[in-house]
Amino acid sequence: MNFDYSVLFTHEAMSMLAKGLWFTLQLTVLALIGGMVIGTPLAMMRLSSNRWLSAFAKLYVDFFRGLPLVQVLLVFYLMMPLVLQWVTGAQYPKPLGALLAGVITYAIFEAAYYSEIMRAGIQSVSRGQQNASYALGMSYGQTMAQVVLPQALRNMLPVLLTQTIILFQDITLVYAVGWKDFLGAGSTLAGINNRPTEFYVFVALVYFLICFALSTYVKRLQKRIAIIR
Amino acid sequence: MANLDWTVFCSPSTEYVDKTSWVESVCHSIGGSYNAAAEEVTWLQMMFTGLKWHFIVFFGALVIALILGSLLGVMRTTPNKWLKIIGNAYVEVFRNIPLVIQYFLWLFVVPSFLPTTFSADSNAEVSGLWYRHVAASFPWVMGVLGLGMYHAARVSEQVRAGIQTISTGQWNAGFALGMNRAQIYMNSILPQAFRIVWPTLTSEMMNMFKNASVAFVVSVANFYALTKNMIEETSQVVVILAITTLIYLFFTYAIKFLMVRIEKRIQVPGMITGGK
Repeated sequence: MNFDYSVLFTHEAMSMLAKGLWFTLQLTVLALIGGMVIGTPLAMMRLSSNRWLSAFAKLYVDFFRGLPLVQVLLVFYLMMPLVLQWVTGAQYPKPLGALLAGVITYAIFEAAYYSEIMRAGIQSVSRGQQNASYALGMSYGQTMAQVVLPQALRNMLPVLLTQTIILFQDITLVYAVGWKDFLGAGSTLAGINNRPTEFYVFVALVYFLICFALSTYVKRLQKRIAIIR
Repeated sequence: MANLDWTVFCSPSTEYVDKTSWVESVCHSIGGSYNAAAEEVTWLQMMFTGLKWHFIVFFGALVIALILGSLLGVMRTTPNKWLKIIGNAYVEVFRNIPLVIQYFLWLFVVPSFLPTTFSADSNAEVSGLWYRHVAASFPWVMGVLGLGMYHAARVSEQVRAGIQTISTGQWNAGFALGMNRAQIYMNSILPQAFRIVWPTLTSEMMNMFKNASVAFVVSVANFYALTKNMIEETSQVVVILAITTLIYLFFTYAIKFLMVRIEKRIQVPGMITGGK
């Protein structure tokens, strides 16, 4: 079969792919921030001595870890407009933009995974640190923000980054609800130009290079941090 | 004995099988109606076939992932440089490309690198004709292949990690007994390694079950694909999503439960993970 990779380098194809990649990157970063913002309190709830808080956090984590991401995407994609309509009392369901809906979905889903990583990270900081800060008269909030979390974050950085690579790869699953990410742009172009091989090879190659570079960096980071400990 | 008719299984049977009575009883018990005489196909039956395809993809991928993953994991721990390079390359490629893209590669890209043959249908030279035929008529083959190869890389990472945690004393003991490398792997190292990595293997199996729903992109009519179809045709969004979500949760945790049961059954007293 003849391959014609020049179809990739037309203005139309390149701008569409760039737009898709920009969507993927934005979604990854925003979902990472959102996931951490929801995941950190979840981890603290999970570790709290309050039975109800801990049970809620466990239920949250187990719920999202028991579901395929494509199912979660479908549920959020279909339910968010309905919930929004119900809350605002609007006459018709109003769809959210793909980026906003994506960020909400991925942040809530990834929070379950990030919170488990955070929990392990917090537990890796020795109990003595907490006791010492309580002895100095620090409150729970101060202890967490100034003593435990900074140490925990450093310990769990490699795992956190690995999970973020997984998040970056999982963005491709928005294919299930038809949002235009990098893969979505590639697959549309493959259809328009009737050149599936060239476009899918290109998309796969870009994904591979980004993820390979990141995971190699994580491996080196892991070695460096291991020496510090 | 002269004429054995192997096609006897294809001759029509006079036995009567009531295929729809269970549908009728389920539908009546939840207050619906079902006309068994018309033999119409309900969404209930469709969703069961969807579940069946989901499990076919899952089990098929499980077999590939475990066999290939163990093989690669062993290859990466042997002293042979070439085996190591091949194993590492496989893992890097299959771990750093997202599953959906891998499915598209299997579906569109692989056949275009196969030799071309003349196709009577399209009246032109087509590459990988037999492959395209298989992909079109048996989408589950693509589903199994894609998911299995994807997870084999992950399983091999775990198997390798398990093998590397085992102390060199075990190797030395094996060599001292006059065993060769293959024998030590089979009889000493792998049985211990699998027990050590069983908990991570458990979550890998749960992931594999969840990822089996992604096989809809190679047009396997699995549970997820039919969920989408059912929502499109009946618009009962809330009901369908609630039930399907519960079904996923049930099976994911059923797998976890089973794996923990097996873990307890196979544990060896005195080993790292063996307990009392």
